[in-house]
Amino acid sequence: MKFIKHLLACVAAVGLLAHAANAAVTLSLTPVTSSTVSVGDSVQYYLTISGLKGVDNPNTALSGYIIDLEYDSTKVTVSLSSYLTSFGGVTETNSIAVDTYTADGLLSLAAVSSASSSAFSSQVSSFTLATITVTGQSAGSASVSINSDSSLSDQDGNTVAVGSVSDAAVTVVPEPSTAAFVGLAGLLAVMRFRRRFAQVG
Amino acid sequence: MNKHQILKGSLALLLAGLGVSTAMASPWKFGVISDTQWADCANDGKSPLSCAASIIKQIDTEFINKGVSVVISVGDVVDSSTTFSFQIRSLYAQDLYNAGIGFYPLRGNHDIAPAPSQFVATFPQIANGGINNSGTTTVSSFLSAYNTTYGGTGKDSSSINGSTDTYSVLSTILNAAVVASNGHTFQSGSNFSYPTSNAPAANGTALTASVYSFTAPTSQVAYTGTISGVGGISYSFDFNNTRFVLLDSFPGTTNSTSTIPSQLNWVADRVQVGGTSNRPLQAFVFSHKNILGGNHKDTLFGGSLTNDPGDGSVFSGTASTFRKAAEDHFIKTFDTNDVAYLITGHDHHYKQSVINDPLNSNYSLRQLILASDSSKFYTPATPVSANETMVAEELYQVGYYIFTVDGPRVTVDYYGIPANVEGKLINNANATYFSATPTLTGNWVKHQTIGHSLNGQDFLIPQGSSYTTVSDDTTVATGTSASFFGETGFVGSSFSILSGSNGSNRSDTVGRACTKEVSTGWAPAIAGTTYSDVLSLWGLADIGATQTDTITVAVKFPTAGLGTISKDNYVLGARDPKSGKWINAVDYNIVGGTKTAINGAYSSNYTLGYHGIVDNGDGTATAWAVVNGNAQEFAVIAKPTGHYLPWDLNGDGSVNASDYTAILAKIRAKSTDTTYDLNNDGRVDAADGRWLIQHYITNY
Repeated sequence: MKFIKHLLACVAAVGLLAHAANAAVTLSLTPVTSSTVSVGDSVQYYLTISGLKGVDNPNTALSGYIIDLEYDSTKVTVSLSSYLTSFGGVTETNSIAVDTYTADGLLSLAAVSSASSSAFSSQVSSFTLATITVTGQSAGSASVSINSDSSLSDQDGNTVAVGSVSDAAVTVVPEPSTAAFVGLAGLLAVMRFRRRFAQVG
Repeated sequence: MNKHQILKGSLALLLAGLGVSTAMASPWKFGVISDTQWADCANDGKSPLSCAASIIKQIDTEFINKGVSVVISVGDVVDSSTTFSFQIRSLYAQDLYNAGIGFYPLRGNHDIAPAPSQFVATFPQIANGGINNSGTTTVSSFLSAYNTTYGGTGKDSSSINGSTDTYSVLSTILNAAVVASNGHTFQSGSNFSYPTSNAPAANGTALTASVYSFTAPTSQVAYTGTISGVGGISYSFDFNNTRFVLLDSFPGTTNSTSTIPSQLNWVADRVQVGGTSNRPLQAFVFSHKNILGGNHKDTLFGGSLTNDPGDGSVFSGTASTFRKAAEDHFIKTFDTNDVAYLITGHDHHYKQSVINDPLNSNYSLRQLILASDSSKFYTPATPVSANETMVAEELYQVGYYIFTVDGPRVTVDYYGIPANVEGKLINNANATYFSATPTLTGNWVKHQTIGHSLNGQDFLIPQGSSYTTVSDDTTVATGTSASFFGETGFVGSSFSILSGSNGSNRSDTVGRACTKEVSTGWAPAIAGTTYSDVLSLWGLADIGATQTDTITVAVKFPTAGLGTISKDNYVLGARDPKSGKWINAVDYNIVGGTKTAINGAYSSNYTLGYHGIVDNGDGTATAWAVVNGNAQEFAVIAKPTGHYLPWDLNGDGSVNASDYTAILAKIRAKSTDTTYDLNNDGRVDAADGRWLIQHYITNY
């Protein structure tokens, strides 16, 4: 069991490795509690941005995004849990404009602030853009990928280049009842085999 | 009456006396690229021999896509000038040559090491009869010569940080990036002129002496200590309806003194309307150094002392009097001949300002310092000159400029990308630097549009001041200058701003409040579309802003044959620059206001969105509108029968959340439909969604 946990941790770590690493801004999917989910159950992930206002981009804040999350719908389904309520501490005069689009294997999230450019001076360098729900469909490994071609805008209308993305590596395990059934069936098979072996012997 | 109005009258009188005429010409464009030196930072293999080649190539792509006919470089084409580094710059102009675009550089203070003749030899097009094409300097011929000179491991002295610009490295870079000549060679300029009788031959012969001599006023004492003849490569040429004058201020291979005083009479000859040089309609003057810089205090007219703001005010004796006399001559030449702009580099940040004549404040010129295209970005510093009125400043941007010449009207579009280099001081406490070559393609945003017209006026409106001093009419456009401007078909119109004040609080780096320069111009009425002449109105928006202060624009026009003058028949229209459609001017407004039509004159209690028309009873009517949308063309039009709002993307008659949804669909589909490129940066992305939300749908 300890080995399996270690293996899962390694898989998750590999899944979180960046696609590219030549710029400061990173989009990441990180599990709220766990990256392992049973078939039919759900876990939540944070979609976060980091690396804003760094040495290489001291004035770059995020004011809007359209980010596509892609996944294998035979393994998992992905839905929106909640959008951000503030762009990293920016005071919003009006509500953030959000829009969600879904298709098979795609969850596209959009959020745009109407705050003035000057309001973004208070933005922190890392914050959560949305929380998503991942539901297991069939046992095995699955990934939820952030499309690195997503569109991000800074406070002045300039493109924020996505330097790297860290996808979610999800492990889907059989649901407990199924697991119990499989385990029981296996146990019965072993017993039957032993009995037959004993009779032959 | 302000000084600009007086000067406009002077130009009209000058033209009247000379009876010059020009031919009408279609609008056309030229581009300007700033300093392209690569220095003081790591050589990442994209800027061989101190030339910012990758940046050049990316900007040239913009020039080609935007349809320019000519590109001007304002100097410092490389950081460390040698025969080889000049040739690198030439090789990277091949994209332009292949597209049939003329490329015309001048020398900056970093370009003076080889003899001036070497510059001419590398860019033969700047000599009369020279061609645009680097075909004589191919990659293979360059590499062969380089290998012969330095072998496999040696480096030219223009190499940055020493270790990489070997033959093999350059071979890889150049073969991958430089396009081959398509064999197209051409002369794009004509009527070349040089400030000496010894013009360079086609292959570049060094200039030696000036036949023009600036004569200081009798009260001034000519300062001759550092001026020893021209020796540089100033030149002028004509293209379409425009004269380009490119100034080289460096005596031979020295950059610490200025030869401009000895060229003043030549400059005056080249820009003079109706003079012996037969100036075409427009004239632009380019130089590397500025009249007044932001960080640099050495100027077009010479070196500086540490406490000098760049205007020579702390100099004493003959140095001071001669310098002021020279600047007086230069600025007066600009103003009396209505040269649109002095366009400069050297200071690696964007600055728009108006500079007064140090001896007579009735004269001034408009100076543009262009944003950097190199690795280096300077920060302005005190002291500053009392002769300068700041209009706009923007730091730490990579930029390029598109000038559209439309008869007497000139529109300047500045495109930029943040360099994100603040705090990266390397070697020089006054400047910051790129650590790596940026990706520019796909990220350009139009930051500012300004303009000037030979048949219009310019007004300086300080912060807090009313715009109601701004008014103009078509008297100049239709008067004695009409044949020079080359346009007919005016119906006779006038314009004024009836309300609004400059509410900007922008200031420059050293704390000077930025004044608005509001400029006007006129084009003839468009038959079947407009019932007044077409007013151009520039300079109302802060740099980077899409919205202006709320103002009331009023246009008076003749009503003969127009029937009943009513809000139901006619409105003040604005031209949507993207679609080209004429729409009700208030439909171009940004955020808030209620569209309300009035039969009658403007009243001070009318707010944003009100518009109306009044029959003046004297054969004229006045259409007015309370606007804030930064439209740049206004005219009276028939009340639109259909419904068109520039940002009603789904055409349902209003701008609302469904338009936001529509634009998101386009973004997700990776659309390139420019209808949805609301912020005009050349792509459809999240910034356009934010633009719509921010400007129209605040209560999403």
